[in-house]
Amino acid sequence: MKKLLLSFSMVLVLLSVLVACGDDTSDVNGTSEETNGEVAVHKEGFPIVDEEIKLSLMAPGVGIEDWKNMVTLKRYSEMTNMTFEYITPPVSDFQTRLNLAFASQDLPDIILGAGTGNLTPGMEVDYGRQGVLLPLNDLIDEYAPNLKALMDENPEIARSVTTPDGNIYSLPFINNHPTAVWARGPLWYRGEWLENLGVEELPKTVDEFYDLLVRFRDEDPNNSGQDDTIPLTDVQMNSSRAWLMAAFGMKEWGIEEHDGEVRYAPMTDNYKAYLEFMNKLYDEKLLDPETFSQADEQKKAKGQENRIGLFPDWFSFFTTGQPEEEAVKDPMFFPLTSEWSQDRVVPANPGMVRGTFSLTKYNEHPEASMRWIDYWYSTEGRDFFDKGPEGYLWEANEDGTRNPLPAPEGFESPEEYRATLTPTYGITPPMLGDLVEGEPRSDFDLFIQAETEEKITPFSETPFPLVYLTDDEQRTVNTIQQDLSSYIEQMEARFITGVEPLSNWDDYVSTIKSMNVEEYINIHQEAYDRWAQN
Amino acid sequence: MDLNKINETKADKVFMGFVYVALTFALLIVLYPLIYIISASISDPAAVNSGEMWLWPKDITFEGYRIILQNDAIWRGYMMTIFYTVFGTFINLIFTLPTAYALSRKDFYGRRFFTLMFVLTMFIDGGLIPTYLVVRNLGLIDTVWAMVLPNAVALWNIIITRVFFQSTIPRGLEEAATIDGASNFKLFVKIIIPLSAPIIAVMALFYGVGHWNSYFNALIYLADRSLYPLQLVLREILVLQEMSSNSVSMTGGMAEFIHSQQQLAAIIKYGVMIVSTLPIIVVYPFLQKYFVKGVMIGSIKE
Amino acid sequence: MKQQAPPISHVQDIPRVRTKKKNRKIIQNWQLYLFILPTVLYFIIFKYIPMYGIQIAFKDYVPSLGFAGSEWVGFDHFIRFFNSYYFWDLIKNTLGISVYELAVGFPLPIILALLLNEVKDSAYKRTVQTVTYAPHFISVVVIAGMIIAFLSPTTGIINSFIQLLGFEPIPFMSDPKWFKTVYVFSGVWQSTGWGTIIYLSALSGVDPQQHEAAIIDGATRLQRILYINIPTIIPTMTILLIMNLGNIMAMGFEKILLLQNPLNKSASNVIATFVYEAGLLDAQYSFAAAIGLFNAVINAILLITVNHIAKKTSETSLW
Repeated sequence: MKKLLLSFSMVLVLLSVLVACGDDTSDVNGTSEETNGEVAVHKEGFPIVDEEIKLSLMAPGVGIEDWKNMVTLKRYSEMTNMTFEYITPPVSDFQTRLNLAFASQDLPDIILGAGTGNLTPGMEVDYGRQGVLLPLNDLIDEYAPNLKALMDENPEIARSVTTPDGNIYSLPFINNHPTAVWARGPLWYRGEWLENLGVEELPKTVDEFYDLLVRFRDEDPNNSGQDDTIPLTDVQMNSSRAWLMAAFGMKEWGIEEHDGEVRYAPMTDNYKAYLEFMNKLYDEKLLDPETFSQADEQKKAKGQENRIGLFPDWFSFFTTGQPEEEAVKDPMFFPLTSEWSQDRVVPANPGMVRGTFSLTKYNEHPEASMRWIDYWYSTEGRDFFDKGPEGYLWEANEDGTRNPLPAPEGFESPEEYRATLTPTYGITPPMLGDLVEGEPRSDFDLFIQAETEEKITPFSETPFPLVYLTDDEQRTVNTIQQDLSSYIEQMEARFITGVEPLSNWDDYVSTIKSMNVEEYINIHQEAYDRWAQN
Repeated sequence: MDLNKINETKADKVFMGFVYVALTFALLIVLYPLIYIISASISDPAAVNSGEMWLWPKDITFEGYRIILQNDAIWRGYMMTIFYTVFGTFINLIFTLPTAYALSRKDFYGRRFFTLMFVLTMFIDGGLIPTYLVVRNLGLIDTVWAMVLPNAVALWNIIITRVFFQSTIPRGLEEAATIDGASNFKLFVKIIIPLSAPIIAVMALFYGVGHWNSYFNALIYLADRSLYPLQLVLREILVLQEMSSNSVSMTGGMAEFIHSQQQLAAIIKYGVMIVSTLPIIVVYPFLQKYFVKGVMIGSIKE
Repeated sequence: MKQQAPPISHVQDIPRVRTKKKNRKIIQNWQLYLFILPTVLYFIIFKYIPMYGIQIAFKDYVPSLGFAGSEWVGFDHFIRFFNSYYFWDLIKNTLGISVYELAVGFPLPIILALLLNEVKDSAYKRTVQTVTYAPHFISVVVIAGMIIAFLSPTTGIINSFIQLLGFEPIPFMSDPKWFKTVYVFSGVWQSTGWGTIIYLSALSGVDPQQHEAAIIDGATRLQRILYINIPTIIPTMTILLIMNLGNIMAMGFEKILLLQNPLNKSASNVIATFVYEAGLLDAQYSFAAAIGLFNAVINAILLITVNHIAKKTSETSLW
């Protein structure tokens, strides 16, 4: 045995020598040889550079077409004189690949379309401080006139993308679509049921809401002659929670801000009232008994069988399975009031997604890269990357309006065809999201806009602004948040289903407090104050 | 010649009755979900998800198979997977069999050292990043070698093969061979390998299935989509359906994209399951005949 | 170790003889070293060289500083893990599921293989073998979807059957009591047939002459299974058991994650899903590495112990 140990330690010594060779984190980026620095970048017009340059770009791929074959990118390369090596790992596992790229320092010049799910605010701060991501402030001022104009117009943008050290490390997707204000997919009523029951006006208070759900349960609203209706359903409350909590005066299932004061909603009395109400719905079978155990497929199947009266989804026809034209009959949920919340309030989306465009320290041409992306923030550029050049998805009429063209043979939908033309499909691109001027809009589009303007926009408040935490804050928050989220998620389900009686509320609150929630709130309060000062 | 038949006692008959009942029970339990998958692959997804389709197909549609057959990426992935499986398994066997044989030899000085050296890696794992750096420094990124070399051999399989050699190769065979003047190499190729059909078949199956099902190395080491194996292509299509079309910071475009992916996944999910596994399932019955080679060892022993 | 001291004159002789014998063994079997060389190289290159990565469990890994340059933090990450509100739940659930899985999943393939081995070369045997093997290839996503569908209290086939027998439907997915059973038995369903392969190949090593002799002595089938077949596969069983116990903390997270919901989470919250959740918040390499190391230590202790016992009580052991 001794000899064995000896030989092992010999091997380990040998290896530690090898380790010294293994642990190199040097720059292995392919584009570093020639063109060191000085390529003249035009500040206006195209091409951006006279001498062709090549960069590497990493973005989530949706698996329909290789980026190098997309017509918009090919044309844009001709326009700009900039070509790219596209690295597009599948969107489903993009996070793994991006993390690996950072950790191994095997980074591309540009990271595009990652979004906060992959390139988190914490990573921006962390990698920004380390110098792995380049600060973009000066580049924006000098080389991004279109983006600069947007930022001057809306100061929220700069506030939301500036990290605590004053630098911007990532550009946002700026959403001006009619649905930009949606915090998540809304709740929809099944219009046919309302008609069958003769409901003229949607419920506007919690009590009226309860009464309607009872009618959904008892009065055979789907005319099936059977007792088969489910008044309200969801998959683990994930989508309906926000809208129902709002009826009790809360905007977020976590940290939220009220008049400059930050609080943790799941430990407030408002939340207790919400749980009591949901528990009542569950007990009386107004909330689907399978809410916490079903998968999305089962929920959709129930919708297609016309068994649910109220449900969350991005658009109602995703769940009902009906054609889009029919969906104009399904009205959006009207925000409720209760004794806890006399004023109607709805959580709003800040209208931006961060983390969509970053430059790494290996990028030899940050100026050109910034000019390259700035076009996407102009009206002309955004239309180009949204719908492609003329002759594919659309053609121009004489009056300047656009006439949509049908998708060619072999494509299931125009959207699928679009995915082969432009990279702005299925990811959050760094650009201005908006409607294309002069493009005809369907009845459904107009219906969505009208519903949003009536039921969401007037009552919308941002739950908590887009802030950044410092490294230390982020680390503390991560540690606290994991246990905390897990706990409130389990307890919400237990309270609603009655497994845990609400008489245990005080124990619940004291457990939350024992998880350091005070520190968690304080960190967010400080971050909020920093944001408010900017 | 069948002694079993001749000497079958009453107890044996009862016992065989029990064997057949038990096997049939196992068969039925496993068969039901398989039939379910086959039926689901040609049924309308709505009928499947609502629970209306529970055994035989309902609202029959071949839409799923049509989409699969038309999808170029799936077929290209198919070809790559077959290549990785055949090539990778070949490499695996070349590494595994001689190693396991050497470790099975009592007169092989250092077998304990080598076994411990291999077993230690079960517990001390440097993690993804250093391994990635090794593969990158070897220049394997984005080559077919990245799909083969990082998994050239598996400890588990070495051990299993070693146990097989230890318990089935008659002791004294080596000594007899050395007295005859045969080298270890000759002994291994001429005698051991022909005696080891069952374990070679099992190893080919274990490694082959491993290659067939793997996607992670491809995900980490490959950027060129034309090198993607089937499982990675399928993962792109199927995993997204688990994403909620309704999470926070969703944009309209994302929601519609995920919805369309979910619809696609619902239609092809079961069909793709069948298309992608059929070849490897069909291989099994052919390998089964190698499991009954016990006779030969017996005869050599004499 | 404690041998009787041999007469002094021989003390120096014996090691010399041993060394000679050893050297002869090495020289005689030099080709065996060539046999093992590629595998040794493989382990050095792909397993030993990356081992320097283990240090990040004790560091605060910052990619731009690299492994060597990152700052040491000692046992901070371990302490954070031990202090987690759910630490004991995680340990209890991880071990609970693993042990349950082993208790049910380990014997079943052996039994099935022994039964299959009794049926000689018929189409029936091949059918059972192939059909039970097939579920191994169903992807986790599809399996999880089917489990949820089959076990639904309203539309699932299993609950329809339970109701047909006159019982109340069972909320399998929302009652934490049921989670481990659902997880383990769906796993057994999926992998029992696959698990038989190794035993069937081991059974091929049985010497037919032994059976012939036993038949002539009037042994029944059951006796022959007990006294001939089972002893033949015991080495394989032992090794697999040792390896399984040495992997007890390792568990894939995907299937658990797909079956997890807030109501059953008190039973389904395991270390693997915990690490996954931590990774969602931010890529916490050092924290994940620390938890991985913690698992490895427990696995190693188990494996060494069991291997020791096996060595003492039987001929088979890992080393």
